[in-house]
Amino acid sequence: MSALTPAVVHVLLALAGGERHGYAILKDVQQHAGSRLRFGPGTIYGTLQRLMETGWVEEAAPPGADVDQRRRYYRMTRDGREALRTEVDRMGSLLDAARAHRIQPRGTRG
Amino acid sequence: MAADAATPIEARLYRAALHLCPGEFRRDHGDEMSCDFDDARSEAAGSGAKAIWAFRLFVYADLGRTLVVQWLRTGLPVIGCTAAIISLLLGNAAASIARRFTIRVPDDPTDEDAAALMLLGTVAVLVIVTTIVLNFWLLARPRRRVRRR
Repeated sequence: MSALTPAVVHVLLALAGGERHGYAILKDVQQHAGSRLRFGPGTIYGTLQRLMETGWVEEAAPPGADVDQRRRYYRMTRDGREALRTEVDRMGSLLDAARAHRIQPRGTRG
Repeated sequence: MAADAATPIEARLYRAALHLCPGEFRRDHGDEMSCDFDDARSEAAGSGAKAIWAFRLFVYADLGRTLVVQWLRTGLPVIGCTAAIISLLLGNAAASIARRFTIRVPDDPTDEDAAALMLLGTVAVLVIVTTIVLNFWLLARPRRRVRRR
């Protein structure tokens, strides 16, 4: 299985915490990715569109009646969660291999 | 994506720019994107002039990238380019075959014009036919549609 794109990983991670609307996903991704990666609304919705076509994300019912009707809510499917878990495993193995070669992520060297 | 009179010109511009996106993407996410634009713009406005200019630069660069990606996903640019290339190759092949035969060049300038017009028409018809054939071929592929609830 090929590696997922950073946008896909970040969107799936944002949805791992529960259903969210697009802007909440965007804010979550910005918070996790920091200044290294910046995703705009077009990238986020393009990614969501692809993930819905793949069946990893689906639309969810709004949590209440008083929500902005322009907003749509999304949640991760079982397949999406499995794909994210596989990707995290792959990243973990990669990190182990890097550590074995004494390559540490920045900020963890003591 | 309706804009009322109180909508700032910047938001109206963004909404208008969203119309450049492919129809399916715009229908699915246009409202959400304009909603996000309004919220993000309000946040940036609260952080000063520098932040709002950085926001503008970023959001329009993102929209430009989205336009390219979404149009490429529709397959239409590929269809257009392939149709043009196939037509040119077919025209070239036809010219190679025609070179083997003796063709009398019309003496009358009116006939020359008619011949040029016919050649141009043939290429145009070839482009149209190839585009239609490629469209049918590409659209015949099953593609999972995203349903709105």
